[in-house]
Amino acid sequence: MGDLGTAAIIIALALTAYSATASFAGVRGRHVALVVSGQRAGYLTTLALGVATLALMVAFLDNDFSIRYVAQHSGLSMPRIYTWVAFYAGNEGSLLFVAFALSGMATLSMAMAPRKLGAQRPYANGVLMLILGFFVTVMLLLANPFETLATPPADGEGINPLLTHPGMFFHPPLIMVGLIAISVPFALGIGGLLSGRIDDDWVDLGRVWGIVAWALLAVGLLLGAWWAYTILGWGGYWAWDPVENAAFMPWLGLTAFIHSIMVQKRRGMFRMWNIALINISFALGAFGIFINRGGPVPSVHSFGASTLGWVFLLFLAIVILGSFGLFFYRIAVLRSTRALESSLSRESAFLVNNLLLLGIAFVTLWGVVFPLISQLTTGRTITVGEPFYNQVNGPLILATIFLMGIGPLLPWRTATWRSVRHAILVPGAITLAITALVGILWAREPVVLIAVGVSTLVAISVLQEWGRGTVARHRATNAAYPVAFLQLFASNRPRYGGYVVHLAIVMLAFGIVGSSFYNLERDVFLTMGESTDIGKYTVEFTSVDTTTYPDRTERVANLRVTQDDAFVDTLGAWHGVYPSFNMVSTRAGIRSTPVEDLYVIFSELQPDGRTAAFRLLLNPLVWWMWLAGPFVVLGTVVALWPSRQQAAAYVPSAAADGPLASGGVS
Amino acid sequence: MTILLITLLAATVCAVVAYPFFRRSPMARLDDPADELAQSLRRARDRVYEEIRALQQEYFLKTLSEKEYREQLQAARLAAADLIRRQREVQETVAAVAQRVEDELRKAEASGTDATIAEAPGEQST
Repeated sequence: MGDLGTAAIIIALALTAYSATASFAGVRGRHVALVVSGQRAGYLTTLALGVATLALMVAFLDNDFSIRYVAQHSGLSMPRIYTWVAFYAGNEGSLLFVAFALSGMATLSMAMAPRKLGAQRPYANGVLMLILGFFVTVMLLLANPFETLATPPADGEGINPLLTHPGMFFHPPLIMVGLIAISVPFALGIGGLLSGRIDDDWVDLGRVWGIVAWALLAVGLLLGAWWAYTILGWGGYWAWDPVENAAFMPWLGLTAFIHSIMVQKRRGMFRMWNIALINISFALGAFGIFINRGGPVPSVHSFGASTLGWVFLLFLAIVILGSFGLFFYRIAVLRSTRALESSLSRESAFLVNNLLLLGIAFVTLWGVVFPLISQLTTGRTITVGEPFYNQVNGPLILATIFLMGIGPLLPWRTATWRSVRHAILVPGAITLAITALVGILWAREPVVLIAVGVSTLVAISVLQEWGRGTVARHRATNAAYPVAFLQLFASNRPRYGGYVVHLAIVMLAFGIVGSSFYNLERDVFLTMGESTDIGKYTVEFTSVDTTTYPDRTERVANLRVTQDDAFVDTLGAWHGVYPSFNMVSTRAGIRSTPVEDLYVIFSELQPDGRTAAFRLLLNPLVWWMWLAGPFVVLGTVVALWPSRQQAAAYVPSAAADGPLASGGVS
Repeated sequence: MTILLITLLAATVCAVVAYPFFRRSPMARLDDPADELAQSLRRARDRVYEEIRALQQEYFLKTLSEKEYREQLQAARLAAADLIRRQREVQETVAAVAQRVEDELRKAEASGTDATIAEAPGEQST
């Protein structure tokens, strides 16, 4: 398998080199056969890297410890189900995974690319192949997953216990694929700049892949937060860890991009912004890869033993210099013919949105690199903690959520203050009423009230539009209300899919505010039979179940939860010791309801075998954060679902209800 | 077995990559200059249609007043009408040119001479 895998990687490298060369040379020389040949070579990289991927999977399944990577990341006692996780657990395997994913996305995007893109398409293919070629070269020369051992061991080292969690089946691959998926809209943008033809034909394809990358990163980030919440044992879910930030920053850039590109689609404006945003997003993604693999900043995530930092730093430098050099070279072509007509318009809202999101990304970037800068300038490493991020990013995030509520209420092009007041009146009044009620009954902190207010405004604005649109459709078409509601979604899938995602953001906001400002925490020692109180609950430590395996010892502390002497639930807090890894792993016992989570971590069993240390927490509203994940997925699917009416001819209508009657609104 | 698989992979790659150079049927052009203007007009027309749909939706959702809606709708309709007219002109011109080329070809065939049509710069014969 090692030889097959290495040969497949070599073939993949040859294909990327040929594909890039043929694409650029073919389009410059207008040689159609060369362009087509180059494109097909690009498709074949998926086959070659697929063979390499399969070879590595078979090596794992066969316990082929003659391959170093297999020996380092699996063992005879590793359950087969973790083979998938072991594949990308280390640097070499994750590089192969990323390269395979990129080749697949390159194939799909180029096959989907419409002919109307013209010369932009081979240029985009060339750029994708250059990016892929970089990863394959690094893999072949510096981090070959098929490197063999002179003396194969009888057994492997096993898999990192932290990775044996359901979240690890999805979180790392989603983050990695999400980061590398940014390559597609980036390549389309650069392809346009290289061809000198950066009109609006790339907008639809760029938007689709921008949303795909955005959604992958969003779900990956949420899963990572869930993993941290359930397994790291501190009761939190986000610590502004450098590697978390490294995925968060490109996600922010993509959020700005997928909104801003709607302005280009609708009004032919923001061309410079969109190219700049996708360049920034890709550069931040490359920075994220550097952080993850170079290890310049300590993190629980990074492939700590990696020595590839300088390679990815060089890649990052080339990306920044190349993409922005090209941007300024072609800046005259990028200028829009239309100007912003009014500061009171949806276009203006998108512009402010771009600035806010980039602001949050910049603040986060500053926090990530500050330790490096302080080390270089003062000789001391000064780390930046949560308070910095919360105090600076917090207001920016709240302003962005406020814009989420106001923006959809503004019309395109221009509006009057009168019409804006009219649009905001009802949602604004309801928001104020709800916020006042929350303030009277529960919350006093200004930050909490502002967060509740802006989040409520978003929710009410969305629900108002859904309500009005459904009623209008019902009256125009006589369809039943549920049918009218579905027809409303079908009439403009990108818009309404986006609103579903906005509601997911509101759920996240409520969860973060509740758990950040109103959580309770206690560290206690309990002997079996003893109980303690937290909030309205009484938690009794009843027993410990111990199971010994060849590579670990597992203990589950059983706890009985009551409220006012009435039985509520039993929790099992899990604790594992891995002597070969010199590692202890925990999994919280969690009782989760929409109101609050009761969260128990089993820290340590005392030598008497009857007394144990526990950390107990009450985290309000965390449940809503995890519910946001499916809403993000649902909203993305709706937004990307192809519409039959994309190019339908407009039927002139004199009546205001014309388009609804004819089903022509999209 | 490994060598066989590697050979098979390499052979498949070479065959697929080389095929475009040997195919006899003509391939589509990269960029057809005659289409450029038509496509840009089509893009502009589609954008105006999109704008009209968005106006109607915003009017329904009461984001726009009646006066604002009527004004913007009228402007968009005029723009759409102008673009449709220009598209028709381009289509008629392209059709007329194509017809003339075909007539010339027929004349050449009828007279029995080997008429060669000069290739446009950068055009590739297939």
